Amino acid sequence: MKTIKNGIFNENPIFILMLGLCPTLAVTHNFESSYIMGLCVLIILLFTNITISLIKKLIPKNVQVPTYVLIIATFVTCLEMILSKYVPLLHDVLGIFLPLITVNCIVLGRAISVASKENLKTSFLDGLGIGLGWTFSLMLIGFFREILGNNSLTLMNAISPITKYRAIYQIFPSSNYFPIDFFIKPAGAFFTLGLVLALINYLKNKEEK
Amino acid sequence: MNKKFKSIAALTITSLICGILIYIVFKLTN
Repeated sequence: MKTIKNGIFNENPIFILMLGLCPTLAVTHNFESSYIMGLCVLIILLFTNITISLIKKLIPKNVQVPTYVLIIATFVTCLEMILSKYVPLLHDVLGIFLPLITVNCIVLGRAISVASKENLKTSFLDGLGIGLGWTFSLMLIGFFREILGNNSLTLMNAISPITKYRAIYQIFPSSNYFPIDFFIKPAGAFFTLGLVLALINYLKNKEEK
Repeated sequence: MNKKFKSIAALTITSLICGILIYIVFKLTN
């Protein structure tokens, strides 16, 4: 439990470690794509951490990184094929950022720093914690960006062929000033990330005092 | 020499297993 909590709060990949910011800024224009991307990274983290933890003694030190990249790329390729077969709309929404999970700093970082040193249980829990931390962070940014930039909250749209249910809500009554397009654009992603980071640091400093 | 051989063997075996896994998923999804 401590490892999971550590991954979500103390070692949050986005707000504390500041890793994997490229997909964070790119896919959070929509709440649904944010949590789906988060879940994809969570699945990849779990599988790679478990696999690497199991075979860590068989891999010589000098070929650690290429072997780990190979393992991560395999799981990402499998996930991409499964998504394109069963949820093609979602596969299109995530686009290039789905195969780019292979080079995500968090996945390789946790594989080298945790999975290659710790036992199976710790590696699994670390993957779960970091994955959940990443998912919650993306959801938080996606939540603010979609509401402010599109005046909506998409809970289920691309995954509706599976759930047989669509859920897109309008949050505020539309006016001349609202929604603000800026938040949907890439600059809005930086701005929102900065605001959320400032808020978290403010709350952290307040707690320390 | 032994170390080099071990490294190449580890990479080759991992590639092979990964290739087989991708092939299985490809066959299942197509």
